[in-house]
Amino acid sequence: MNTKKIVAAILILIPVVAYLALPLYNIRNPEAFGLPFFYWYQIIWLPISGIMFYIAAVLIDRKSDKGGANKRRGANARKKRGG
Amino acid sequence: MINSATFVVFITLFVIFIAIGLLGKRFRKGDLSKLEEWSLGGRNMGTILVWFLVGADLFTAYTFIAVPSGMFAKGALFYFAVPYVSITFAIAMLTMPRLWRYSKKRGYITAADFIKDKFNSRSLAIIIAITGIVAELPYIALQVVGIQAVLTSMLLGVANVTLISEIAIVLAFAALAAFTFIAGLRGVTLTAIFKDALIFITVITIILAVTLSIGGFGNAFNHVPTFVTLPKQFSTAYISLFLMSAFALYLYPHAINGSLSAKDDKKLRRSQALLPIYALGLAFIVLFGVLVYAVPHAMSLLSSFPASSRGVLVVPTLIASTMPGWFVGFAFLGIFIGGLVPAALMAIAVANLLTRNIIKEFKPKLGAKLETTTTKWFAVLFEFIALGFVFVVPATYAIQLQLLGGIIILQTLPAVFIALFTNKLNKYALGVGWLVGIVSGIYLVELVNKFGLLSSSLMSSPLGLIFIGATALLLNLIIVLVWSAISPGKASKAFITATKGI
Repeated sequence: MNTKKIVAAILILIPVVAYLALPLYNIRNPEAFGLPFFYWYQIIWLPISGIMFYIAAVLIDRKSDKGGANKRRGANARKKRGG
Repeated sequence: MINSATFVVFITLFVIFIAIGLLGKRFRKGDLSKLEEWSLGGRNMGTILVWFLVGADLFTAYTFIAVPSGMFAKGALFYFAVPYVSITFAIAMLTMPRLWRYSKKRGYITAADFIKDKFNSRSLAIIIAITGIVAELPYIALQVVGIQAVLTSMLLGVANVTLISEIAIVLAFAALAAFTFIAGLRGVTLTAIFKDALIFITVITIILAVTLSIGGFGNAFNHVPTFVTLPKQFSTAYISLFLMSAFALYLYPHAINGSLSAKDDKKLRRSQALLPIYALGLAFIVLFGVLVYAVPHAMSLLSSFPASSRGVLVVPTLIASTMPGWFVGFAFLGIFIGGLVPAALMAIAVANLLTRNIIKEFKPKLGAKLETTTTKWFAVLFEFIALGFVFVVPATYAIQLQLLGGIIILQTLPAVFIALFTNKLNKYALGVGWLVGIVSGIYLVELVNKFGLLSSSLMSSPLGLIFIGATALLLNLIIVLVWSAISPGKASKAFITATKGI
């Protein structure tokens, strides 16, 4: 497997594992603005997942550009812009 | 507080909403007599537009009303909505771009188009289409329930509340049907941006204003100490609910329809990847179900309603009892159109399935133009069926059907998601797996609810309480995978040749 694909897979899996680790975050303290840890932990993982998924998305699509299998229009133009 | 300013702001913004929807016709102009133009916006939406469109249509009035009401009644279990909306976008970014590429190449508009082409099977495509329609209709009906909740709160104390609110809903749906028919997906996209802006402003304002005025979330949780964490016996229920809901969401016709409107697969992938950020709004609005406990005025208003209808009124009541009149109008319209915008996309998506995958199978000579016109009329019809459903049948039935809908739509996962990645699935195995999944899912739900009113979708298992959808999907997957391993199926030659390398 290609390195970029592995990194992308890890980036996608991290938030999933973070949410599956329920016993670790199903606790009250530390609180933030009176909000129990259970809640704010899950809230902050939303923007973190967004960022990780986005980086993964860029990595996945770069890889398919290199493969040259895609002849979609504009693919080259986007690559020049740095993707 | 509700006063005349509430109504002025509400009605003014509603008129603007309809105007934007109608203007959608001219947005990125295309020939609207072509189905691809009308129902997919010509596959021309960029990252940001798809983000707004899909976001607006996944976080519906029902989400904004029902999840906080679940939180209000049951506590932390309903926070499963948060991990669900993170993980569902990981699944979307891995599956939807591939479906988009096949669709672009082969001209698909629905997931059933893909099934028909790939497996060369009309029957499999028809059962997938029917599953999509059956699961989607109660979802549209629930949008009406959300809309009614807003009107009930707004018209509190007015004589003939039911009559006035029904007239208002019929008028709103007539306006909605007009712009769905005229502008199609373009209208939905533009109004989605308008809706998103209203909802975001509402959520941020209320969270700040209410938490500051009650002195932090802590004070709200002091009223309901059992809501602070998730009771241990619900751990497996929580995990199975968020995982299965995450898998189910992008099997719904409207989610696929929205995704296929993207301009290219990369823009689609990026917009899906960024959607967890959109979900922050949901994460906070769910907390309204706890905040309300610290607002005595809201609690006393709520206690004047029967316990069964109290839940859906939590969010509107909290808004009405903490905000100035004009802002209440603003926020209420946000939730109101938060129901209308998804209803429009859902109606478009089921109309596509009905016309392309069911009617066309029996009337193959339907011309392109007639196909589009038929779809447009069906979209209008579905909007009114959903509306009529809510007027005729009590809202609790729509909620029960929605609960079943989530379980049955999951049974299309092997045929839609897994088939994107392998050519080896056996079509008969898919059919049998689907049937076993649906029958076992419905039976188990009936069983845990003792064949009475459906309120629970959890069953006990050796692991603990789990979501029934997970059990049904597991049976389905075992059948599909074992059968296909023993006797692999073949994808159609036309599909394989045409999609080589993508």
